[in-house]
Amino acid sequence: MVADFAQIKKLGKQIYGISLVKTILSFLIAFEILVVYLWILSATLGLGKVYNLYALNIFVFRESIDTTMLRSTVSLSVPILITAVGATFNERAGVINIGLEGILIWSAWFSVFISYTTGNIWLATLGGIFAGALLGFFHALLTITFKAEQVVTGVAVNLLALGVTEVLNRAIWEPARSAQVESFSPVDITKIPFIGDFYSLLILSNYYDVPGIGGVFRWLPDIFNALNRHNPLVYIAIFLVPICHFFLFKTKYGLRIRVIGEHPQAAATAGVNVRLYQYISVTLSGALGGLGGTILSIGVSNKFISGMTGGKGFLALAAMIFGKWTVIGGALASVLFGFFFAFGIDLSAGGIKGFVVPIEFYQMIPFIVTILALAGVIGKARAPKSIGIPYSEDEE
Amino acid sequence: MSLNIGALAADSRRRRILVLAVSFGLSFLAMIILILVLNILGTSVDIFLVMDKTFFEPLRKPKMVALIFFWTAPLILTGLSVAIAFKAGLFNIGSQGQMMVGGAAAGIFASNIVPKTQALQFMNRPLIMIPATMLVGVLAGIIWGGIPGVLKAKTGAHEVIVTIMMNQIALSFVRYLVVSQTYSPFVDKSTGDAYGQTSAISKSAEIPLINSSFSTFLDWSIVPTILSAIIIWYLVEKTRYGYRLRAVGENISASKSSGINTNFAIISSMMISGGLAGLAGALQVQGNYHKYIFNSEGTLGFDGIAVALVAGNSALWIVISALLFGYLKQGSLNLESSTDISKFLIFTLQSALIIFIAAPLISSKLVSLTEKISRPRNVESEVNGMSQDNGGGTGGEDTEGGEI
Repeated sequence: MVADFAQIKKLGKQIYGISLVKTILSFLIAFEILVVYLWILSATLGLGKVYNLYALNIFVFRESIDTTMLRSTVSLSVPILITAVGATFNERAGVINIGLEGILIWSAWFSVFISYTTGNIWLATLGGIFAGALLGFFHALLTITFKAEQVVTGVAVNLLALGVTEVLNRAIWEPARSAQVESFSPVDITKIPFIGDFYSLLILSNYYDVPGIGGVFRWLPDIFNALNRHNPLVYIAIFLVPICHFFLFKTKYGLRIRVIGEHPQAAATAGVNVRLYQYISVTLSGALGGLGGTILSIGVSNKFISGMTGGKGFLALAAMIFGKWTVIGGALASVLFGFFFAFGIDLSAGGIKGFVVPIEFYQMIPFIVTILALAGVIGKARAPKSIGIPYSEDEE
Repeated sequence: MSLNIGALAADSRRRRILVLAVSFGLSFLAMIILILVLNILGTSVDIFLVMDKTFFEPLRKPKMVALIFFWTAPLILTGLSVAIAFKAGLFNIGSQGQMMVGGAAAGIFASNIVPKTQALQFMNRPLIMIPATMLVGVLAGIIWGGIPGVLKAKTGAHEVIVTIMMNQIALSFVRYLVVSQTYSPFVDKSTGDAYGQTSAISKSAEIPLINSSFSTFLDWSIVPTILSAIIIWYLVEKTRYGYRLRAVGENISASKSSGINTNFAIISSMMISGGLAGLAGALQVQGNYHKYIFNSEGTLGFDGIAVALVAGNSALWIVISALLFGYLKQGSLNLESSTDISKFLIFTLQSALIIFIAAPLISSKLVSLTEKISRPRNVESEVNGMSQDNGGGTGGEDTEGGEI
């Protein structure tokens, strides 16, 4: 049974896009649901006073466009974002990888180790990416060549990475955390000659004193200010998103990957080397996850602490699903998740006076919305058709 | 998606044991390689000391042997939990979260709800309280496992992803319930310790120790555990329900067209799976800790996956397999307490084991290779009386054919 290649191609083109209007609208709806969720929690748990829902809307909006909040949103979401982008590649190629959590912790450890031994942070970054790619390749070897059950080996990859890093960490540094190592420091874009001047024009807080528009700008999120002063890896990661999108959805190589995820036999009939593309996709996903792990360790901190990934790999998986198996969607979902976290940290520390919802209730939001998305309550998420099935030539 | 994995997909018992033996050997090798790598990296690790502490120390003292049994009980339950979902073709990674929720619910029920409610005082006697607390844990587990089951049956949401998400939600929710000192009403506030726990459960809910002079860990919770193993074995192997469950696991579309209610099979197996994990959590609270301590289940839920895979998802073999993993767990704890090696060393063995069982092609290729070398083909077919699978087709490849 060989499906029509052209038909598959058409299908691939149909399902990649997410329209801008829809995205903005869903952001607004999500915001309102968030406010109501918090209001209900605050009222039922009886922790703070019961707020007027309208006033709460204003408060939460003010809080959510706060520049500090947005900046921590960026730093919290970028590791998830780049891992989610990587996950899109392997899922599109028809391989589930729930070992992302393991890839994150393993590459986080490895980059700290390289930084510790060589003192060179860029070498450490390359080492982290390489470590992630290596583990991705290992997963590819198991699932593609040895046709193992993908979810089960994913669990094994997680356990393996956790076990090996813990053992190495304790053997080299004795306690649960590593020594302090060389790490990245934030860069101020406005200080860069030429580009910096242009960038300064985009920062809204520079206009706050201008009569008229200044008052309006105070009610807008100061995105470019929040994007400033992060470590260089964050910009690399953000820069990679459009490139990955272009690669996966605009080039013939990307098309081949997507067709493999839908119908590998059809791709093989059209002369595509299915296994090679799957190997490349899964390894690439590991490499991007490795970058994510590196950002988590030497990007924002200067040491390795056991358990420092804290479910961020699973969060990336959730973001990829919530973004409906697209690069841009996954990236936006990661930003949304990062926002929830930053918001939770901010509000549970008393961002709005007298309004308390325990931070745990913010932390579970991403997972709840992903389950809802999977169940079809929020839009329709559809996984690639042949996902989880090891490819072999003689089937169907 | 049907899950036919390694050891259970192998066609004969002899071959299954061979595959397992090869997997164990290879996993052991993987662990030794890691130790060698450690030595190359400059830390001096005595490989014989590691072996001694991990594999022989637990068998030396009776107290240690008791500890092996102590770890075995929850491992049996989480192993059963993973296995019954596997029987229906579902992979429940959520045992960890279900166990956590079960333990927390049982702990809160027995430490806060019953002792502090006037109307429930009639319950406060062992005969009612012990089973009631267990039941609360089971119910919490059923809810946590039932949600992925319902979503899988009604909307087709992938149970693996949903259970991962449920694990994370459980982690946050239970952390709120028992760690959040300022916000939660159930936290033990007397200690002021950052380590989250509920206050001690009512005396009537405690499961007594078997013999306190022999071991201060081993309690009677092994009895409900073994009982559940027997019940699950009977349910899966001997009843019509079990037959339907296995049929759904083998081939869901064929079962559907032959009139089996597949949705019921999926939902109920996930509920039973969650219930067993919840029971494991509740028994831990009642038997040993006498309060719910956040994260006290460690990785017992995830370990259940390895337990079930090694046992080929058969309920009775799970008891043996859980004993093995209980022994390894105790060994790894000995290792950590007496050397610089982390207890997570055992994770490498465990994950390698999972990999070799999940990728049957690796070890069954090796097995057929050794078979080819060790004896001529015609003799083998005479000995085994299974001439039909002589064509070099191994367990793994057969699985492939059956999967569509």
